Amino acid sequence: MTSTIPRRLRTPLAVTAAAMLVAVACSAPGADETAPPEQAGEDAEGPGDGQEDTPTGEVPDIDADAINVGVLAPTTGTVAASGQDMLNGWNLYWDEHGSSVAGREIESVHEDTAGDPSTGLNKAQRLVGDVGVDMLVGPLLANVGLAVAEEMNRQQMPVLLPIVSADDLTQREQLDWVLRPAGWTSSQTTHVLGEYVAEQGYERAVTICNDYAFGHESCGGFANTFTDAGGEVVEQLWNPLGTQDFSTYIAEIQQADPDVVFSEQVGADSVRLVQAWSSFGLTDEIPLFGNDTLLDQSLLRNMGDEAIGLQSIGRFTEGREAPATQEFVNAYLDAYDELPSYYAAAMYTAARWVAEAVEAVDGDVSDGEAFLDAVRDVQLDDSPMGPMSLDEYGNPIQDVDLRRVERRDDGRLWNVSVETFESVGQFWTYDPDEFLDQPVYSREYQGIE
Amino acid sequence: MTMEFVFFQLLNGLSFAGLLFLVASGFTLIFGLMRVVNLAHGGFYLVGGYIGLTIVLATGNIWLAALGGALAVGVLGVLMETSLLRRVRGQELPEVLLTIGVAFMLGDLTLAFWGGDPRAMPLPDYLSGSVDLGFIGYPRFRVLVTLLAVAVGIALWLLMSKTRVGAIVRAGVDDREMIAALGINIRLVFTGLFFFGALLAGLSGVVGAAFLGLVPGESDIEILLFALVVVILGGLGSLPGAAIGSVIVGLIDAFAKALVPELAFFTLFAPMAIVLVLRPEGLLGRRA
Amino acid sequence: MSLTTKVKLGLLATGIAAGVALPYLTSPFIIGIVTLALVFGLFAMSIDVLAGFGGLVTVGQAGIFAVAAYGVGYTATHLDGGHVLQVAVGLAAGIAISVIFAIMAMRTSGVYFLMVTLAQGMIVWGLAYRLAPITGAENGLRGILRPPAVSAYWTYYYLVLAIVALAGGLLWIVTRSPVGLALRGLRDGEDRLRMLGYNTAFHKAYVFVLSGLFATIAGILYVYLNQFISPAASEFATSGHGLLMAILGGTGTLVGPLIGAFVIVFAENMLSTYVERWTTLLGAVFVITILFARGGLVGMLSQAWPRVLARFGHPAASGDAGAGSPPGAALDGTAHATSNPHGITTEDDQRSSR
Repeated sequence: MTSTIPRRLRTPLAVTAAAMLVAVACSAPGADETAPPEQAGEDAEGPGDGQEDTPTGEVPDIDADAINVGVLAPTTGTVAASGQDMLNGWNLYWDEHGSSVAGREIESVHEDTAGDPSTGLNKAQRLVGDVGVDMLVGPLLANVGLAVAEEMNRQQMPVLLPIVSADDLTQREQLDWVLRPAGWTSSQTTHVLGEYVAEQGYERAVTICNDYAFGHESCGGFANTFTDAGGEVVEQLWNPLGTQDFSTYIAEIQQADPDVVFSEQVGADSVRLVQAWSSFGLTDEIPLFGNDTLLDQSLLRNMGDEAIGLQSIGRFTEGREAPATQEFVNAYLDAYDELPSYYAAAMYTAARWVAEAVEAVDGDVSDGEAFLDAVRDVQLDDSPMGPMSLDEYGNPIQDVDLRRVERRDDGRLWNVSVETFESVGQFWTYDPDEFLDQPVYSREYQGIE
Repeated sequence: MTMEFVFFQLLNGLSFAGLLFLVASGFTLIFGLMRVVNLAHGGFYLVGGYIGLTIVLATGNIWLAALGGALAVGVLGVLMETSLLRRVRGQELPEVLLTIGVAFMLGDLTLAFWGGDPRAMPLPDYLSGSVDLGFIGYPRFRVLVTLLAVAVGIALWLLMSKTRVGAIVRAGVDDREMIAALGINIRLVFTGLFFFGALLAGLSGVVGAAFLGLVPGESDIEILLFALVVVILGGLGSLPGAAIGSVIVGLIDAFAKALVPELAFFTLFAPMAIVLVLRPEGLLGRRA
Repeated sequence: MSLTTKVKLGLLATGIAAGVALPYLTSPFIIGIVTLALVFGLFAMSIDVLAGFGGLVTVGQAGIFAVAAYGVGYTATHLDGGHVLQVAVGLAAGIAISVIFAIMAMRTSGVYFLMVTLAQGMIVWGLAYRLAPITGAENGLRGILRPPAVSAYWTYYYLVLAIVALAGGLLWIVTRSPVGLALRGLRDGEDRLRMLGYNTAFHKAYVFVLSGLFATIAGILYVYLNQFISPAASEFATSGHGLLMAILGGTGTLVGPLIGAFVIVFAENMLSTYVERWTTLLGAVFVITILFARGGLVGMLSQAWPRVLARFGHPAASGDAGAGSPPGAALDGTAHATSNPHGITTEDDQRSSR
């Protein structure tokens, strides 16, 4: 920029600029005190809410007739494949049902978070500030979701989280502008599993979960109900995300000699654990039960015989026989030539949820709070994931399946339902108030007395 | 802690060390003889793994996969050497910076081509399952990786120290002009060497795909880090150093996870720091 | 004060004035991106202190950047510390890790130095994922709120602008100090410097820590910008991007890293929506810059408009005391012959050193 200034202008320019420097030197560091009147009040209102009253010269390019939905999903980076599943599920719904709801067009604007919280937050800001969306749906990773949810809550923008399952978002740290249509809490499904496993007569369990919030919460759900039902957790192993070699953990499990093992893993760690489980010959020795993510369809696609017969708990079961599920699964298979993962199913269901809520407010989403109330009131009698409705904390009450991996006739692996547990809430059978008095599940607190 | 547990962990550490040696040997070979730090080595590993996986899925033949993965990456190495590195030959920093650029591209292009799902290499029955070692059973594949690493190590040592090719390469490193005067095409020797180093990266990628699985953007970076720690410990450019470094890192990794799980990764850092402070050239590296 | 200095100051003032006026001209989103670019500009400057001026190419700087950010984050979330304590802990953590890294790296040079810093940075990345009790693993640490005075996006932007301007000024002074001269000596011939009686290891450590200080400040500004910190900040890619910013802009210059940061950050946030293979593109830019434009954008300008540049583009051409060689000189092979640990000088070396 500087070097393109014509020579003859330089000196006058320099003098002017130097004069400005003097002025600036006084005002720049203390800008918050010497700011123009219309801005001065902002500090007290907290960060981010200067959105409306900033001295901006740009007019956002909103399509006034359409309802703009910002969809956050990673389509680059290491979780890109599951992010694409999210988009596929979301788009399939609108392709099937048309994007016109209550006389208004639903326009989806996708932004790529790259699986990075900083990028995700920037993209969310762009969707809200520059595009002018009416709500945000997504993203995939908890860290991105938490960053976006907290900031957008400050800006009073409705955020819908069908994938992000951090327990406290609908428990101890609820945010007014954040709901989980077609979503879940990490421990919601594993609560079911802990009790089920204990009832099968298993007494000594070892857990091996990822050492971060999702792992702590998933594992806590299992450990809490398993011990309440009379089981004993003899050892808890916490492997870091991105564990390359599971052999040491296998050795420790063998040494602990349990009669059942529970594991939460995500992504590549799931693949590696299942691989190690088989190659160390544990498949026939110790029963392994997984959480939703250990054997999700997104991973089964690339697994082999080593996964067959393994059992897990989950809120979406692609092999569930219900017509609503199979219609969705077959439509998805036709459209994308693969079976849907829970990422796809949740986004598909969330799309329907949005459509019903928009219908309920007659297409007027200008009042964010009223729209969120409509989202709360939606009752899905059936969906690919079964019937669903939100509890008073904004998390779905939904069916949960015990699943087993089988090979389909076409050679693909999928989960089939072994047993269905209906209308499971995030607090399981515990009293919500008592449950919320306990801390959120962590490495230190696993609900084991 | 039972003896059985200790023995089991020893095997875990040694088999992981086997994989690490396969990765680190190609890296250290290229550096030792050509003075090129190839930070695309992790990318080479990843590409080799994916090509191997593709071949296995198509043919079901793991040996063909190993051959195909290794050769393809060898060719990739030659392409990089002739089209990029040769332009800046002898300038260490531009060389290594170019390989960073290539590493970025390889990581992203594998993601584009093979997708972001974590993949695992299916093994034929005769390679999976466990082998009875007297008082414990141990996965056959991991035992084979250890043996393969030992075999590759011995072969490399023999090649470099006992054959005419090895003599030419070593001489070429020490005195290029003399070699050129003898009528040997030094460029060709170096390209061949790069081919060979990249070939080892590709081979280790195929082995690694079955050992650790493949994740674009993660496997390449993680394995590069392990390889770096191995060669920094053992001495950059030294084959025996890579062997010793691999064993140290493999054993530390296995035992630390069991004994001090909270410090699992820090235990990699500490020995590297100590070696750098006391002996910056590495355990078996040559003094500057 | 010479005329050229006046002109430079004038342009600096114009730049700052434009910076000050910016929130009145554009949207909050753009201001967010500009703030991020400034933070990364500072980060790239810290890399340039070592790489551009000292010929020590670091690819682990994100490690220091992230440690400082985690220091702030941990104090805010786990210790309930006030902002003064948060910043103090962030600074202390960043400087401490810089000292440790410096001691590890100070006896190496050239590609050895590069490898050591790479491993250092990657280990911080690994620990950020694994030390869950401190770092929150993948979820990171959240709720690291800015002090009330800079809580609005635009007030924070002014703070960052001021700090980056100050840091740039400091760097300008340092590169002209005796230390800066010794630093250039390191780049142009470590052996020669050693023979003159310099303790080169000590000098390297000193410069490393200085560079680490800039990275630390950038890390602290970064964590307050996002109000959270996650392992992504410590990735190899972060260090790689920082290095690319410095090289693309022009190493060994003050404005180069800043220009590079603006180009990369804006391209990433604007283009990556449309360009699917963004990382491949970055890698290609890396390769092309090294092969064809080692002086970076500033270097290209210096070739196109030598006279213009002679007056304000970069310090080298202006004839000021302490001026170095042209942009990108650090990356030419000159460091090679002296850092070659085997003492081998090849025919290619000789050619490139000429």
